[in-house]
Amino acid sequence: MPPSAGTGLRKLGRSGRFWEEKKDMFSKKKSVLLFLVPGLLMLLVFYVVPFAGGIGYSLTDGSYRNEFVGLANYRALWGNSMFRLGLKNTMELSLICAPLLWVLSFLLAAALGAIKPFGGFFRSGVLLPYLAPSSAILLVWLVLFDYGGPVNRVMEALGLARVMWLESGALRAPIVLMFLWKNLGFCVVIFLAALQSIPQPLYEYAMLEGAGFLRRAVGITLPLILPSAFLVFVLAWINAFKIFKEVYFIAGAYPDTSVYTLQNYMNNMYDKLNYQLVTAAAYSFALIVLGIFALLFFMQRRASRAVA
Amino acid sequence: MKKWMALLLALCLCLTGAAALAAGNATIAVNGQNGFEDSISGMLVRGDELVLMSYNRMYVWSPVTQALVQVQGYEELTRQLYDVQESEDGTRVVALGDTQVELDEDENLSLNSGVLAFGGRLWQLVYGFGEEGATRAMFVELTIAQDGTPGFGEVIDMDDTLTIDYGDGYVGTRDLSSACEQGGLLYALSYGENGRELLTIDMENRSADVLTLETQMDISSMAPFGEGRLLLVGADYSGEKMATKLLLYDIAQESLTELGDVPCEGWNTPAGLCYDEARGLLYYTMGGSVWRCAVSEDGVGEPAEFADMPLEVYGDAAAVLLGDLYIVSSYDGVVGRDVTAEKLPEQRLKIANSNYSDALKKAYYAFTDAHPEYMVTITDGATMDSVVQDMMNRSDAVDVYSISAGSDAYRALLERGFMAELGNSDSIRQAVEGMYPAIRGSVMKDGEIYGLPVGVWSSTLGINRKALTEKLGFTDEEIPTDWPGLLALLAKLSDGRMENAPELSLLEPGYAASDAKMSFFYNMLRDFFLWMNVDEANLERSGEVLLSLCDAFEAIDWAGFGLPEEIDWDDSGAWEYNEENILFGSVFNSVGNVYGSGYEPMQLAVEAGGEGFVGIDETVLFVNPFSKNREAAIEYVELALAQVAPTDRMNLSPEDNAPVENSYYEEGLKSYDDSIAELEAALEKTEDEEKRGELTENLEYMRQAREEYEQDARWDVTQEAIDSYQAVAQHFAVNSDGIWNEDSVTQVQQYIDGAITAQQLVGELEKTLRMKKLEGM
Repeated sequence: MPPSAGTGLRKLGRSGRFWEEKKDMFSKKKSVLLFLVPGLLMLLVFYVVPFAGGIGYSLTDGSYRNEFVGLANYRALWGNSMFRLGLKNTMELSLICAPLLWVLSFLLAAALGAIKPFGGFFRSGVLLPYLAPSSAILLVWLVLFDYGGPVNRVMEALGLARVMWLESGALRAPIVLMFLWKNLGFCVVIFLAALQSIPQPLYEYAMLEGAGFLRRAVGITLPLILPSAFLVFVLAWINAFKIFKEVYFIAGAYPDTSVYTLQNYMNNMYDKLNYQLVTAAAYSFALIVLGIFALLFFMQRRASRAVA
Repeated sequence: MKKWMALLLALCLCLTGAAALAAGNATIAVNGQNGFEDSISGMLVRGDELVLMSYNRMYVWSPVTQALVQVQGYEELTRQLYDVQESEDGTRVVALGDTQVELDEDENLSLNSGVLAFGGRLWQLVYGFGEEGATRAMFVELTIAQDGTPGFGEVIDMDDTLTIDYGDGYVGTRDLSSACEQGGLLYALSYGENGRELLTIDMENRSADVLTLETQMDISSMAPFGEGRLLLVGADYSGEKMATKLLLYDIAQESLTELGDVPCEGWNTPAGLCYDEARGLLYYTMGGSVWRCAVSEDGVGEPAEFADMPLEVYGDAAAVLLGDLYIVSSYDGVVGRDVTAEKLPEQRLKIANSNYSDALKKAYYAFTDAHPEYMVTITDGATMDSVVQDMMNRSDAVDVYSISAGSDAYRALLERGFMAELGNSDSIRQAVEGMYPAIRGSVMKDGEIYGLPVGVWSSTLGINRKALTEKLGFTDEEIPTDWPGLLALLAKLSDGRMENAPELSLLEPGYAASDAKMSFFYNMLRDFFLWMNVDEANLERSGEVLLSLCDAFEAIDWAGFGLPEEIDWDDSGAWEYNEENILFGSVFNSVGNVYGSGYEPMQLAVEAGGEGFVGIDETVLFVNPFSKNREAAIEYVELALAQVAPTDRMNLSPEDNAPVENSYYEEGLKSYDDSIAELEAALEKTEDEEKRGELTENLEYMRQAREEYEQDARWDVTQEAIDSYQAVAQHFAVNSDGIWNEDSVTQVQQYIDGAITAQQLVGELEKTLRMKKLEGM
């Protein structure tokens, strides 16, 4: 005899109920699948197949004979000092940029959330750099950080020496600043949404219970914004990995060694038609990124449980 | 019986003629083929024959006999133009046939080698020119007597109606192309103030007008379209891609109508337009093929390819219809295509001649003779980017490419294995293995041959040893063999040493002080990069070496050479060759090149006592590894190898280097002897003392010129030139565009302008080079 619906639900619990409902949806409404087909097909054709094809490509010699060479391309890649330099710089830049962006965007979101007059104006304004085209921002940066530009003039006025911001290792500073300026708005918006979704009465109850600022922040704000904070961190890191066009536009294909990123390497190898090394570099990096994000997810789950 | 026999004979002849007319395609006259060595510049149909003109020869070709016959007496006829007689009253006169043409003082005549038909007669254009440029134009009738002897007939003086002021005081003469007669007027395309213009010439009233066409499009070619109408091809450059349209110009209505789109390929527009009224079809050439499409007042039909076209045909190339043959003429030949051809050959070989290899073009004839089953299309539109794109797409659209070897993209194609192996071909292997090491190395990888070099170019600085030793007191040991030595020499020269010989200048005319500085620096950098490329170990010391060169470069006072601050390009002296230069900016290395007046090519080492290198660029043929016709493509390359000119072979290989005699030497010598004989005869006849003096002077000049010609012109390639070239060729290294990009050019300019220091420049260049090297291929 089949169990009653009520008994079944009790046995399945919350998570089981969710999947049971989904299963019902897919089995009862076949039209859902039909709606999904175009999207899935696109995903298959433009992501899954090229991804799998690329793996095959990275294992061949790339000539017209397309001979299988095993891991030779990966060995050549990891043996190349410029690849390692690009990877190191990319990691360093992301380690500088992602946490900075995370902290700054949280603080700014908190500050903007507290601003009452013109709050909407400021909240919209902070998103503008994200919408501006990179090439336009780059032009502004080139003027600002020129040897005779405003930044150096201010430094000189403060009694500091001028710096060749755009032609040396100092290029890291403008690049990091540009990254922060451009991406801050988007992260702030996510944080703001998370902060504003916290029910105000929770803080009021906590205050009535005598909880101070720190207790409210740790006990209420942090647990409730943790998923969003994690999302911001992941997005910040992904964007930091993509720092390239800023470097390329300012310093070309061969910038100072301190800002030579992995994408510089891949771009240059693409110009040399060495698509095998480009794909090998891409998959090597993808594995590293996958490892990092797996670790982050693990940490997030641990943190969520700890907070709960 | 006799009547029947005669009738039968006539019938046989007619049938033979008809068969010949329908015999299919015809290679009429191609430079370098079947003993034809000339360049055709004019063509028209006269009766059932084709008349072809070069600058001093006239030919007739008949589709019946398929024979090209040179018209005797034409070359002598053209000499009439230069035979200026002075009458008793001092008037200068040239006799063109029966017409006496009076010339102004200092005026001379020149013949345009084109030919046009008007009023059922043949005409040629004769230009008058003086010190200020063109003075006038005349149409001179070209008559051909019953026995075939050419002559000049009526002369129509158009005065200055066909001259054009190009500004800056230079007056030129109009070119006339696609000329045709319509309603008693001559219509032709001509370059003018607004690009290619449509000109109408009234020979009777001796006037010419530019017709205003109501279109923004550039007109590229023209053909008559029945009576009173002209077909024009207009190119529209306003969009992202060029678009071409077929236009109809109604002469009576003065109206222009768009008939429809016609395809274009890259920047190539339909050329050699020819309308076949009987069939209602328009024929044209584009992208190595011949096309036909139906045309009527209502519009233009879908074009269909019906034959290949081996000639390079552009814009307003001449095209005519003779029987069933659509005949096109360009600078490299005249070829006819059968318009009745119904289907194309079964197989197709596509050649992308992006580096304009002559051998690749010439191989067409031998290949198609041997393989009539193939249609061969030769295009020139492929860029290095498109070649790379083809390879990346594993495309078989092109079978054989000709590209430059002096680029990173070429190196990448070779290194990545995107060229088919050619080593199985004995002739190619033998040829490549016999080439100079640097050239051979540029097409080989791991012992296999992937390309065939068919041309090589290089240039170096040249030095005048005699001027340095005899006039400036330098010893032979002081003649530099490396850059530190040359820079030290320049420092000495700029420091007052040249004051001892004020007649000497540092470089040939055309260099301002800043140009000289820039030129030396770029030459130095080029040699530095070659040195870097030749040996990986040089990378370690590159910064230090370049910095020391820059220090020496900065020690030179560039204002101390007495070179002008700016060059006045209007001054013709700016271009005059001066034998009294110490150095020569660019000496072209070739076995066929005579190093002018003692200029030695310099192979300057980057470091004192090191080996100097000479940067080269090459044209390389290679077969697409994805080609479906690989065997045929390799055979085509083999045939191209057979077509490489002897001097190019010598430039490529130290083997098979025998001096080459000038094939025109005897002819040239005879021309001198004839002129001398004419002058001597004139001197004998003349009694006027002043005139005798002039003639004696001319005679002396002519004898001296003959002597010099006898001494210098006997050989196209002398043993001395071969030895000299071979000494240079041992130091060849293939140029690379690797370091040169917008950034590096800006950095060099900044350094030359003093905006950045040598340390900064060297730091940047060295960093880039080092990173490139470390990245590897």
